[in-house]
Amino acid sequence: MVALFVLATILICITIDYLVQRAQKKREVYQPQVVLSSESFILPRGYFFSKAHTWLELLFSGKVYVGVDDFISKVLGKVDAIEILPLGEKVKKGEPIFKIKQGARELTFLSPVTGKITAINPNILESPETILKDPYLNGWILMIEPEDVASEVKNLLIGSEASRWLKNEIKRFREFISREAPKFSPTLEPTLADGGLVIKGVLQNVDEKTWEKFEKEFIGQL
Amino acid sequence: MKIKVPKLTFWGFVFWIIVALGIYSTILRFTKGLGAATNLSDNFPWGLWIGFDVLCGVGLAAGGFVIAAAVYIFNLEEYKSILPSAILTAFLGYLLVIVALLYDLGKPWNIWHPIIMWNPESVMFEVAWCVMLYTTVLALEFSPMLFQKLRLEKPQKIIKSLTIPLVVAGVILSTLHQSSLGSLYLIVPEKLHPIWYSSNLPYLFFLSAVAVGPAMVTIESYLSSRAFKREIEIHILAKLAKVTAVALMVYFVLKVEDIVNYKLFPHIFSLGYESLMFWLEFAIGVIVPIALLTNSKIRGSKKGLFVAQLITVLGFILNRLNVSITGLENYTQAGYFPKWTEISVTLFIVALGFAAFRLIAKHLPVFPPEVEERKIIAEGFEVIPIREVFKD
Amino acid sequence: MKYGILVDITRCIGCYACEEACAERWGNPITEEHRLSAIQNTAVEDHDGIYVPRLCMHCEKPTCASVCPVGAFQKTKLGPVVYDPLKCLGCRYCIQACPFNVPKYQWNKLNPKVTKCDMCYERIQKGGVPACVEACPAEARTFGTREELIEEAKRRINENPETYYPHIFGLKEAGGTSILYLADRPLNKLGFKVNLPEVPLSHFTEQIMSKIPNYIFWGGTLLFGIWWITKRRDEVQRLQKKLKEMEENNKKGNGK
Repeated sequence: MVALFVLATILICITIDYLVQRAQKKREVYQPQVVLSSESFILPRGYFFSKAHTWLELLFSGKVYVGVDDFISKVLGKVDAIEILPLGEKVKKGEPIFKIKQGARELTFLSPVTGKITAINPNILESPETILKDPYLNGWILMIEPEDVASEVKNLLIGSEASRWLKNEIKRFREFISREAPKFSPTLEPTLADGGLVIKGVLQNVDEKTWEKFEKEFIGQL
Repeated sequence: MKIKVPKLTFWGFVFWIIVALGIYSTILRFTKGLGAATNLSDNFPWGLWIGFDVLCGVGLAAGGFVIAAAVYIFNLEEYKSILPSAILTAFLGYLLVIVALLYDLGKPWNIWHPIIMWNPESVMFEVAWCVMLYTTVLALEFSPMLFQKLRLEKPQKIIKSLTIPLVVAGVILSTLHQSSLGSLYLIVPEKLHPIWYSSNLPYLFFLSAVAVGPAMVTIESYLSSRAFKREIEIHILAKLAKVTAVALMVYFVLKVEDIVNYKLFPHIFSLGYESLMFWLEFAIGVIVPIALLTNSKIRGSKKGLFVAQLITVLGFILNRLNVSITGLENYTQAGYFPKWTEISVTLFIVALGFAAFRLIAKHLPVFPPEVEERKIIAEGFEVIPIREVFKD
Repeated sequence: MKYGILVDITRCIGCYACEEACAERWGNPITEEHRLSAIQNTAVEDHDGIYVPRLCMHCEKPTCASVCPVGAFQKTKLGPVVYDPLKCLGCRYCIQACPFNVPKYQWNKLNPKVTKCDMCYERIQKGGVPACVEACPAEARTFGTREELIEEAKRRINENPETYYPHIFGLKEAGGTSILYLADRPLNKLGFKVNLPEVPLSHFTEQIMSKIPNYIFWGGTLLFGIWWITKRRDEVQRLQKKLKEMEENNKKGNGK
């Protein structure tokens, strides 16, 4: 009886804890936070960006968290799976490092630095859509220990440079769509009267050729 | 003037209630004696404090020696990041076992007697020495964290040079200690129910401790990742889970051998209190964890691993309580159920453990430096409205 | 010279004189409980009209002495098993382990002792007889050396085979005891646990305890060995890697 009693006590504690956690999470949802809206892009000021649309957060140890930027998460609209090189693998700058899959097609991302993969975000593998909802914090994809941080940082963008570059990328993307979109999908026409653009999930509707072109033009080069 | 009232979380509230009740029970225990504070009797001289606080407490601290052996003896560097927290858990675990003993012993002021009054024939003598020595070893293994904080270079160097002998001593003492808790029951063949009595008890206790060590490290990682908002080293914990699975498989074989050797079939296949308790213990302590942990998919997922290892821990606790309490109920004919003050002291000790871990983990470098503050905060964003991009 | 007591259950008349003498010897109050407790070191149990005097069995190889971590129990040369409350730390392993459930505990005291019969050790030392033996009007308890008592028990069984069940309880149980019992029926019908091995119970822990020194030595050696091998292996690997790199560098150099 005593054994059952102790077991029951522990199980009750765990259940209560679970409920408390859940209640807390609900409350957290209402807390003000940076909201991703379809009308704007966000850009963390302290993050480095590579021209292939990956971001890097430099940690005190010199290691970096790597993820994809808000631009990619907006244009993708949907993610089915993420494939990452195995833990411990050494990667060279510019070599493929992870793939984002949407249905049968995929985007291959290039490593922004040379180094060793020291961690992979387990949550990303379970729920890849995190990179759409929270690309900069919980949506980190992997951690790399760069061989030489100093030399890497020079080729990356940060602060106003990054912001200028991203604005330019958005413009380039509009041109890209207006060039490619009318041929394949009428829904992609730049419809907004004030010169805006429906950006969210654009890539979901384009055909293979456009997809490959996008990969080549936007993330194919560092 | 405004007084700042710290926000009390649900568990914070529970903690203070437990502390209040615990203090009451403590006063009762030390002013009115064991008779007033417990339901122990001449028929049932060992109750919840020995069965749970001591037997389970020591077992659940096994993570310390398992990880220390992996890192230093087998040179598996990858486990190094979880070593400090495993050592801290073990150290606190042993301190709490000593605290529990101070409550349980009739004459706690004589607790040091085994140092000078020897009876090497006694298993309890061995237990006493192992507790003393291993707590010392754990204190030394833990001390670098303190020295690091205090920036004392020299003692840090001295301890570092002693690492390997300390770890070897720790592993040996743990092996002896974990198994000797099982040996304690070797001397009651006529009292302990045959389902649990076996000359293999020391080996069974040791194996289940090896299995539950990594399980506790997993749960402790999970809890601290929650408390300190840090990532879980899931790939390390998933690998550690293999240790649990293998130890449990050996345990399974040994227990089945017992069932055959001691001809336990009539006992375990008859419907009764003992047989039901045995099957419950065997299912959640051995069979289910083996089934779950040998599945690489479950091992690789955070939730799956946590649930599987939690089941391992629950099964372990059930086993210890079955040996120390359930298995003796039939012989003594007298039932035993702990008095509320016994329960409250146990909760008090567990709560103190949680609080101490939290406090130490917050102030000493228990967690590896890889876990760094993420710099991003809400104000750290630049928001670029799309409209503006196309204005210029 | 080891003394003991032969308890002849067929002779006990249930007058409780032994209980009273024992209570007086220890300064305990008289009770009507008639069972061993912290205030009764001997008790006459009533099993459906058959009176069964109980007291510490004073084992030849006492379990309590074997399990006590501080050696608070001693088997004396004269036979009694005595307890030293000054050594005791109150772990109660003796109570848990005793196969006869003899030791009791002063649960309600702040400085509690284990209580049990000591065969009136002080009186025996002075050449006396235990208080309960002296007080018994029916000669149900006989004091003497263990050898004498065994002879006496055998004689009684031989002379009155219809009165006695032919078994001397305590001759071999748990390795033999200084207190011996005679009765007209098996003792398991009178509240005794008889599933006891004939070896002392300490035998079961001795097997494992005797392995410890060996384990410490070989375990230590093995662990140091493994440590040395794994360390060495890592060193060798590191060196090999370095060599390889150097060779590659050399090749590059030559190529140029």
